[in-house]
Amino acid sequence: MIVTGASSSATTSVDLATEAYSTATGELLWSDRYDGPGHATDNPYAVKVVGDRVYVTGNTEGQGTRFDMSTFAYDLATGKRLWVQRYDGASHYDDTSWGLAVTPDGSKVVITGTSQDTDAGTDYVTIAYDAASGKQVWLGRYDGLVGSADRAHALRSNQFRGAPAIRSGQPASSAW
Amino acid sequence: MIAVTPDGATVIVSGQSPGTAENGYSDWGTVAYDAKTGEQKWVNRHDGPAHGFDIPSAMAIPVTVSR
Repeated sequence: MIVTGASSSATTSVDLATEAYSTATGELLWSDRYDGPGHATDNPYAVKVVGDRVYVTGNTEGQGTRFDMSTFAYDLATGKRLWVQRYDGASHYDDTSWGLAVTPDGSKVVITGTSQDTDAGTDYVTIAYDAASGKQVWLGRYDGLVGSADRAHALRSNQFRGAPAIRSGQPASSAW
Repeated sequence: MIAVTPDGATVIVSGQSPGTAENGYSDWGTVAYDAKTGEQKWVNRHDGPAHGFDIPSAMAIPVTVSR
């Protein structure tokens, strides 16, 4: 099983740590620590295990870019980091990733969160990454009806009737 | 946080648990129970190198892997 969280560091403030334990014995199988370029507070918010991959998303501090949305793919068996992607909005304000889903075919990892590009407030930002390579496939930005705080908090992919659909926003609909 | 293994045999919970260091800051504390009897099966704690505030955010249990 996988647990991800914030872990205090003696030299780099707080790092994003991800660990695998044996569900049978609790034995630590692997542990990975990620320190963002800004060496400040790095904190995950969501984890999913799909097949032989572990996907984590959260926010980590960039160098002069405040929090950036940060997404990681690990090999489930070894904990090896397969790819890391960071998203920094144009204004280099706080960009925080809250939710993560994997499409039913396993081909895309989609994250959603809040990104501030202007002083007017935040937008939802939703990004799909290629699960194999980590390459960005698409990015959606939703500014809402007024220039204010739009915050996407949760995300789930839907495979009803084989038609993938993705919804993000706050609050999550109970129908999902 | 709470989750059940796909075979229904184990319940796993995780959260913040104060450490033994004098500062009393928190560690990750993860505890597994036998789903049928409630017997505690194992505990795993994560205390970061600085022994500061260590706070778990999320957990997931693989569907196909049982170790």
